[in-house]
Amino acid sequence: MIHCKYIENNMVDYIDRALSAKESESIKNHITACTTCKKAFDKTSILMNSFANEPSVQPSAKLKTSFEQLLAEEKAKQTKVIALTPKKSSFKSFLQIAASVAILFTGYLIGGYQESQNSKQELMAFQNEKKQLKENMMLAMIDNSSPSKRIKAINYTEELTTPNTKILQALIERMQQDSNSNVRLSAAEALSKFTDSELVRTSLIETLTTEKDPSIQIEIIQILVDIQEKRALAPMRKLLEQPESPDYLKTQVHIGIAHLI
Amino acid sequence: MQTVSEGNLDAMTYIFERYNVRLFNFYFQMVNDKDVCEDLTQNVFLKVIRYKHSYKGGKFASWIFKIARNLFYDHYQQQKKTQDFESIEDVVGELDEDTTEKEEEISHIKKALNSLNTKDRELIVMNRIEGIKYDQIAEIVGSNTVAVKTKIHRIIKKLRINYFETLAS
Repeated sequence: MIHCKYIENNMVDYIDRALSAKESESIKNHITACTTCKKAFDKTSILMNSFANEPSVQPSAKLKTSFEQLLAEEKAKQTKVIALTPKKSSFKSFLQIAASVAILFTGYLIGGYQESQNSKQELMAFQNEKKQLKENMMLAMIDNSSPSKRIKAINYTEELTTPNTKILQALIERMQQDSNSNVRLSAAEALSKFTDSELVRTSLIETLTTEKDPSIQIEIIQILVDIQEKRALAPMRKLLEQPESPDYLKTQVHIGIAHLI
Repeated sequence: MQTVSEGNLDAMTYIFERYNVRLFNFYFQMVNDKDVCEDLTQNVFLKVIRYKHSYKGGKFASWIFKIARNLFYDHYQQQKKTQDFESIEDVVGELDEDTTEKEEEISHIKKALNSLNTKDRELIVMNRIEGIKYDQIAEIVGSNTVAVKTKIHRIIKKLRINYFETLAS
């Protein structure tokens, strides 16, 4: 005998025909016998029929058109997205970045190199200019009427490492022909730095024979002894023979000769 | 749907044809405002397109109803916030009165349905009106088949009482 509670629990499945033939049969038998269950069954059937009969409502045409519009928009977006993100883009953009960095770096290096070249050239040009200026100043001042100016001009040559022949000739001229003994002495001292030049050497030997001032003679002897100029021996011996030569000069000549031999 | 999730949006037209009336009716039983229902239905298809990559096979109807249900709850929460003085039930009732004369039977069913809370109504609409099977509903609402079935049967019993009360009144 089936209980009413069981009927109630399986009512929906019974109406849905979701039960086995055997179960359906027993429920059917119970319902015909039990008035309470029959009532419940009738009501449930009506309710479930009304659900089934609930007509489907049609949405308006607006829904379809707005959907089509939406779909078109989404499609457009999708193609845009594809266009913006090609598959190899990340690798490609990496290469582009790398290339731009490389270009920037090379640019920097070239710029830096050119800059240093330029500054070097500028510096050299400036130094040449300065040297030229000094030489010109020296040549201009060396003929000045004031002995002190002439000495100053001679002193400029000290800063020159490789003076040209014009400068050397100017110095030699001062040493041999200047009226002031101080100027001649300064010129001789200045020339002592450029004894590598044959012109300077011969002029020094020559001066030794012509120079009458003992202090200058001593200076020249010392220079010639320092460079071990053997050709200076003849004029030096001549100095010893000359009666007007002072004793202290003769002493210096003796020392010099001793050094040279 | 597989083709849609692979990026073929033309297949969306087919999905729309197949589900738009069902979804619209689901909403219509829940909301009773045709314009709102159309908007909600439209939003379901938008979500389907947007979240196409999250569809990982399985029963498509369950997936689309899951989206539909989430959208309905979003809408429901918004309604709750905006309607300070009128409850949804009241609005639904007012709308119902307009249609009573034409469709008396349907109106009774609706009144009975409206007497249910949203969660119960949703289950009945999906199961009885949309004809979705228990196991699928279980998948949609995130429950198990037995629990869903028991619950629906209980609601029907309750509804039966409400329904005949409204008929009698």
